[in-house]
Amino acid sequence: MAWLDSDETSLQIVRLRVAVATLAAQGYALRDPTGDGTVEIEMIVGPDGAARRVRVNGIWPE
Amino acid sequence: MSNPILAASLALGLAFSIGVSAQSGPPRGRGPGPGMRGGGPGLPGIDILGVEPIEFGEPILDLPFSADAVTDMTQTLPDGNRIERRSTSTLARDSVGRTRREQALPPIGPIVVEPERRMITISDPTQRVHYLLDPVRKMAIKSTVPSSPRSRGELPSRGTPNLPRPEITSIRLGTRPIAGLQAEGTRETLTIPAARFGNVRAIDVVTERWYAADLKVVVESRRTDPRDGTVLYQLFNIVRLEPAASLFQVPPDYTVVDSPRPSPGPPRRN
Repeated sequence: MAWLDSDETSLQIVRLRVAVATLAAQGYALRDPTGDGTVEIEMIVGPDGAARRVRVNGIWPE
Repeated sequence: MSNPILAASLALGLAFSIGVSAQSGPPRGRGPGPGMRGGGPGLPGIDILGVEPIEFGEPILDLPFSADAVTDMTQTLPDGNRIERRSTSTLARDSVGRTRREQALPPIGPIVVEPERRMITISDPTQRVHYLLDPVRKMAIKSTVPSSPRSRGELPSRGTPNLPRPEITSIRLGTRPIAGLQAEGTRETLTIPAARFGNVRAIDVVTERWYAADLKVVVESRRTDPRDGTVLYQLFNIVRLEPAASLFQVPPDYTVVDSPRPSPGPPRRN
């Protein structure tokens, strides 16, 4: 389980589609699983506007 | 030709290792679909597909307000260098508990989105509906959240069934005036046990939260996570008046589309 915040109602999930080329330009070598040049990224964002966790294709880290 | 799973490391303070299956061949494309388009100078190629609350909670009635908020993120690196970022947001709540928030898209792990991308969201906890407004394309991306809440503080994740669980302790800090309101403080410490994800020692994540019960809103918080640094959040310019009703409505010239569902992740490899 990923523990995040005791005030769960204040957390948001932001879902993004990011071009692999954009990530590569930042130094992150990824291959996209669907072949369309993008990956889907989800972020859990706290009420303070800061990301708590980031996941790619369905895996939340601790 | 298929390549093996590639591990990508997007450190969000912690080591963030994921597997993404490689695939070759021509792009298949999924069409544009809903989403706020990135583009222009800076960091292109980022579409915001949707924003939705994990859980709505009960609507807060008859306590309308509007305010500005500032978030300062500070991270000190092992060599003494520092990363400092500031973002601003605006928020409003009406008498029936609808909320509107306009904020910047936060950094994606270590990747800072520049130029800044703003997210405008409207949340209606009574109807359990959430909208992400896209002023450029005049589109509202609609999300609905089912009524069954998850267990507090937990999200589904893969694996780690037998690892020690994090513990939370909380102490009261008393009251003090903040932004014209009396706020009650609590300090909550989340202790992640050693060996949870390769950490040699336990990790404490400390959150101080100052809550104005009179308005039922957090007016200040400070979260310190040794993996991420410190995030200070403060409310300013609190106005206790009914905000304009139009702030909580999708503009009439917008097209409402349902948020696309997340695509399934890669198959689990045991």
